[in-house]
Amino acid sequence: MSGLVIFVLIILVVFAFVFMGIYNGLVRLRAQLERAWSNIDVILKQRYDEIPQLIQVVEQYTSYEAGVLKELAQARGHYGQARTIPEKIEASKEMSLALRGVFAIGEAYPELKSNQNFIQLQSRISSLENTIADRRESYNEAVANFNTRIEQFPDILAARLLNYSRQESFQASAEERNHQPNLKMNLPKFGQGA
Amino acid sequence: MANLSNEEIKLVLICFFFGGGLILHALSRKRSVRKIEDTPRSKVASAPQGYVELQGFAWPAAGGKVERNAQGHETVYYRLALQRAETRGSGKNRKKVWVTVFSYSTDTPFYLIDATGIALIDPARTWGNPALSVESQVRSVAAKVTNFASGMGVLGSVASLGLEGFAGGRNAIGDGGGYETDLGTGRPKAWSRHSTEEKALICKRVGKIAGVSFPPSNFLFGLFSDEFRVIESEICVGSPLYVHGDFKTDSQNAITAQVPGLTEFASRVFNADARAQKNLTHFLDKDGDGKVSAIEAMRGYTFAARQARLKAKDQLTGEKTFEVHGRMGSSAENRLFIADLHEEHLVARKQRYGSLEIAAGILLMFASLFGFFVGFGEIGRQIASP
Repeated sequence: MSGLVIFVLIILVVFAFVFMGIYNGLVRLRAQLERAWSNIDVILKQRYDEIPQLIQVVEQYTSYEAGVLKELAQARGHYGQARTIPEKIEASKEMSLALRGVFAIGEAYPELKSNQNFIQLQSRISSLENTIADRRESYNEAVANFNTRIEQFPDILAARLLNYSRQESFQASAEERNHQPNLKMNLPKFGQGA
Repeated sequence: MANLSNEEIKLVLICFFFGGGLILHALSRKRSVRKIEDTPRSKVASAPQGYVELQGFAWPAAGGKVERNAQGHETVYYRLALQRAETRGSGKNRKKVWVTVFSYSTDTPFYLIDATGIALIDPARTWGNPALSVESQVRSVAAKVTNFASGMGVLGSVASLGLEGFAGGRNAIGDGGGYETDLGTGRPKAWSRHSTEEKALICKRVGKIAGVSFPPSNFLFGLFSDEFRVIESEICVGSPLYVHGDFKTDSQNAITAQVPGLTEFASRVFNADARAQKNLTHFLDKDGDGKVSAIEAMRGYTFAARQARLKAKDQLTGEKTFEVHGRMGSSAENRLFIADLHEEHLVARKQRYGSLEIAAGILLMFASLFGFFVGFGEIGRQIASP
């Protein structure tokens, strides 16, 4: 009998260690997810800070595309008010769309396109967009790992204990993929309409 | 509890420790696989500071020394150990052990290149004091117990199998310091199995060793010469590379590099506009099964690298300037890990036989417990006459 008790105790200890490993693994996955988001957030913040300068430069060259600039300013405002990750993701997508419109202005207005400040800002924001795209892939991989793990057995038991739920990935929307900026393309003669 | 003879007690302990060792070894590999799978991959150009996972290809650092292995291939990381067989003990306790008589290693930094840029992989670099981390201290204790156990005869040897896995992996050439590697090379190969050219290259590197007659004489087929074996561990130029560890950028100064052959190699392997690796399955898949195996990938990419290096002829003419985005090393929290395969092949290699090991380990431990409580004689009688 004592042998059976020892045997059962050993099995219980083994199960306890296994459960501990699963629990710690999930906590580690969650921490990685949060870190992956933080790494995107810091770049989104940098992009957010660059936008006022961009608007200022573009405004000097054209008043015909005020609608596009207004969209960008609104998108920036939405990002500033966003608090949760889903809100920030939506606001970020809106900002990316609006920025495309502004850079299209640069293509349409040669004077603007050759402006040094505009060139530097465009280069800087494009670099930030590339970084956001790369880190978005990394974040989505962390989300996929997390979502898969919390739905697998036996990790689902620990996930329920920790109250973990599925997380939303950071995907480009169809609008973001297909958006074509609508520009007025009314090019003023030099010295007019400023 | 059964009344067991001394021999039966030994058998119980061997089964128990061997089974336990197998399970520990399999769990250690599983832990390592889990860490690899769970870590999201970053691209070099956008890698954040801290713990990251990178994947790309190995290339020599600008101005760095390039070693050649016994086959004459260029390497960015190279370890060589020459071991001689010695007989220890006498009578029944007589056994053959391999003693390292020469070792050589390079821990110089090298590049990892992916579709977005270059990172400097620095095995010898540690930030903070890795020895203070809990993991390092546990590994250090496990390594000491392993060394102690392996000197305790059969029992210790089988128990040390599992502890080695937990202590950071077998490394016959010596401790890798603050970093860990998982390379497909590193298996011992008898001296006699090397070709004439390989022997010449090894002899050139080893030179004369005091008190050791090397290379062994072929007189009477080497009957009266010492027995030697060679362990080579390397990462070839162009080899697939997987790394995780601590990444640090130098945001103040942009570091750039030009290296012979890198532009040609990068143009063959990467689509720079898409910031992604090209799909080269049709070039790499030699056996036509529609999949690129680990060996096919290794051979294909290292061949492309050799071609690119040969074409460059060690000159920088026409070479693009690449930005070195940061440096990767070990820290107190994150030990640098380097493997010579990409993630999918690495995980497959680590998981090979994993389930079998666990199953065998559990069976052996159950067998030892049954033997302890019931007795092997009784088990035998039950099996013979159910």
